[in-house]
Amino acid sequence: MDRRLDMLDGTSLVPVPDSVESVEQTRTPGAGVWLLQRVGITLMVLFGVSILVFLATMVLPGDAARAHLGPRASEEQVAALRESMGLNKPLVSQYLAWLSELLRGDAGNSIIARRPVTEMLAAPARNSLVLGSVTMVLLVPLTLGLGIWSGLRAGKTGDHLIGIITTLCYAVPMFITATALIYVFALNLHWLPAVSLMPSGSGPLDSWRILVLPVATLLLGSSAYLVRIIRARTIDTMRSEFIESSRLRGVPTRRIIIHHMLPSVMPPVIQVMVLYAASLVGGVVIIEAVFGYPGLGQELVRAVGARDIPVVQAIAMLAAAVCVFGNLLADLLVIALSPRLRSEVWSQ
Amino acid sequence: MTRTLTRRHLVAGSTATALFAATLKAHARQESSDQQMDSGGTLRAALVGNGASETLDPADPSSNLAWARILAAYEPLVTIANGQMEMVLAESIEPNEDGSVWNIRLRKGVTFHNGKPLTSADVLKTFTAHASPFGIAYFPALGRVSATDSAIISDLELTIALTAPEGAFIDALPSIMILPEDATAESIQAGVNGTGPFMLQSFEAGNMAIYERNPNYWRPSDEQPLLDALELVQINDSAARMNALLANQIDVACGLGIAEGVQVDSTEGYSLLPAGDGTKYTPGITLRTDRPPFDSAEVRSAVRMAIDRQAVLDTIGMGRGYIAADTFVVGALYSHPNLQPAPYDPDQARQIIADANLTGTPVDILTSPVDAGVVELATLFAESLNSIGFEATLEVAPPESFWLNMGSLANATAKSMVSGVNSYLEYAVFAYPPGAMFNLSGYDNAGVTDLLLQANASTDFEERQDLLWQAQEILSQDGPDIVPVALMANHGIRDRVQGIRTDLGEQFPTFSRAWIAD
Repeated sequence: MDRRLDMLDGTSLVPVPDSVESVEQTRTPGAGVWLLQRVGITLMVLFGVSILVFLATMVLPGDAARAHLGPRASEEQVAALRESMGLNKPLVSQYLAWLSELLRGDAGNSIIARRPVTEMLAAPARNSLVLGSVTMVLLVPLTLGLGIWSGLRAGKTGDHLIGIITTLCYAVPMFITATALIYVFALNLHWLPAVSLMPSGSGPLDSWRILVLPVATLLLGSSAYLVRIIRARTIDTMRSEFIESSRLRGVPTRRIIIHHMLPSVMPPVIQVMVLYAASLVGGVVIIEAVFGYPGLGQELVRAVGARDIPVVQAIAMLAAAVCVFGNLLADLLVIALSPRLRSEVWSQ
Repeated sequence: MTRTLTRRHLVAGSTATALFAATLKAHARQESSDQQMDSGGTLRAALVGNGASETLDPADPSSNLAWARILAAYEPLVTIANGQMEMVLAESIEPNEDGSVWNIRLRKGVTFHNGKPLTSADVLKTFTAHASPFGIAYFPALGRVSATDSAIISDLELTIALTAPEGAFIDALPSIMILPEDATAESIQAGVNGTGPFMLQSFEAGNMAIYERNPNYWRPSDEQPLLDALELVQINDSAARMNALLANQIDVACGLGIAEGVQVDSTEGYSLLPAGDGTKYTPGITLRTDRPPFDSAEVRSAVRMAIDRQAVLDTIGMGRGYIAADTFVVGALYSHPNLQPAPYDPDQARQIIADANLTGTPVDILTSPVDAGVVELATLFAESLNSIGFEATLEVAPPESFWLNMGSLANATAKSMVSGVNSYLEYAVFAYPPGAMFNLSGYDNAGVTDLLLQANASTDFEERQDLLWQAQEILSQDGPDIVPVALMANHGIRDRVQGIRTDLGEQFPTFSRAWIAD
């Protein structure tokens, strides 16, 4: 028995048998049990992450009370605030109190704003979700299309051209790409806004033009790696015996791509995309800064700087939750797309 | 309306040497277009904010954006404008003999945004009830008010009693905004009524606040707000603010960095706001004066002579500012207008260091990119020290923790400091007496301490000013601070925007008389 899913994303924790024979030998539990096991492990991972997040925020240099009151506050004022913030309690007590409130959906109050963190982060989280979702919706077909097209034309001019462009996009730092796009499309052509100003009370989808340049920057910066993966996978698959025999049998190329190529290409792509999506939820700090996009990334930077610990903890836990549940979803998708894995997991 | 070049524009006393050509150009543009002044329109200004943690609480001025919001909608009893005290909601503020009781008479005819008249009950409640959770933390003066001994005399008159005499209590009042009597912690967070020139329409923390003109503003017609609406938006990255300005998404980009300021000023149709009369931005270096090598006044004077102040001004301030004489808080209330900076004489400075057997002495300079030009100034300072025989090295700390680690700051032989407060007294009493909470230099000069304490106790403005000028004359020659320049803020504007004022301070533009030319 090997760890097939581990090979795909390096994060799956539940062993998946690789053959029917081994399934019979190890008596792999059914799909329901497997799923429960997987969810359980995901929750345990999240629990472990919560400990790490809590400890990490506790060891941030500087004092949250001092950060709030400023350098001219007296030691007495700082001490009083530390007491009122509960920073003098033992770490374990602080952690348990924080975790129990978090499980009840209460991320506490911001030290700086003295408002509920969930209320404070609602708009930035929505904005980051929109930015991430729009990017992902465009990223999947774009990279699949370019990667497969390039793989099918390996060694030809089109492939070389895509290779050069994607390598260039990958090599250029994202903030330079963003700056170049702003210079051309906002400052010179005046087609698009340079920064993401949203009228009060509205969201990014209400003024879609503000999304164009941030999304374009993210697509240019992130599609290169995925296109290269998909291209390589396409070339490997096209060289496989079953594709060769399908071609010899006269199966149309479109059918080969849809029925054979995509199921082969998708599993690793899904894993990479899920990790990428998780990073979007955590905030694309540079993109948000360059475009003035009011998302979670900017909030995280601000909160770390201000030692606004409840906000840092909430954003870190949100990003971690998206990451581990995203991985779970990716594993399920991979299994659903792979007949062999599906039969192995589903078999009794 | 016309803004003329005043004494403070042209000189910071005799020390002023530089007004950038662009400033003069911008002044000329401002004055030539005054005839077209018209009301109406919406002005959108971008400033640095604290994201989702921004509040509408006027007692929470935790960012420049927060200050802009506060100044749009709220007003204090008295303010500091052009380096002078100026009554706002108060008609007069008079202390008793020892400054333990203050009699305040309010202006007639002032109303809050909801039409409720301003009364002494509102002021008393503001000073004693602390409806805001931020109040005392930011404004310690509120904590020195006795709620039981303060009293209402009439609708427009009250007395504020202090727990101990404090002659300079009035200096703390410009930061304290007057709230209506019925203000609560909840209503403050929701944007409680103020008396200011603009009324809040909508607010989204981390994004923008929209205001409309207050049609019942109490000031005379030539001081009424001119804009129909004011939008204050958050864009934290300096380059992004510049891009938004050049793409005409905003009309004003406040607090641009040096590179962005240069670009805006060289772009047709845009310019940098001319200097106001308020407090200048003063980055500097504070030396540890209670241990070698800077425990010697002679060595400190050599360090002062090693600084090429004009080069510093040109390098980190684009020439937009003034040469300063080693005191923080330039252009503020009680700032000395005639201090003489040490002459640039590196040869003599090198000789003093050599005679003191300090050649080759290592000096660590703690700095951090906490504000514009801070690290650049520290770099130039290190080069100056090296040029006279020291072996200076920079330690660049992350900005997030620079101000938090007070132990490191206090221990550093030399460290970056910045200041832009509006009252010299407010800064000095925290920074120079031994044991003061912001004395990070170990400076101990009985003469200076005595002058500061006398000034803080005096109820007479002229006397306070005289005492503080004396203190600054000593500190300029002997003190722990190296402050080569006082800078203007780089507020980029579209040429059609007029009337923005920075009387309160370079970092705090106000829009009450701003207007947009056709």
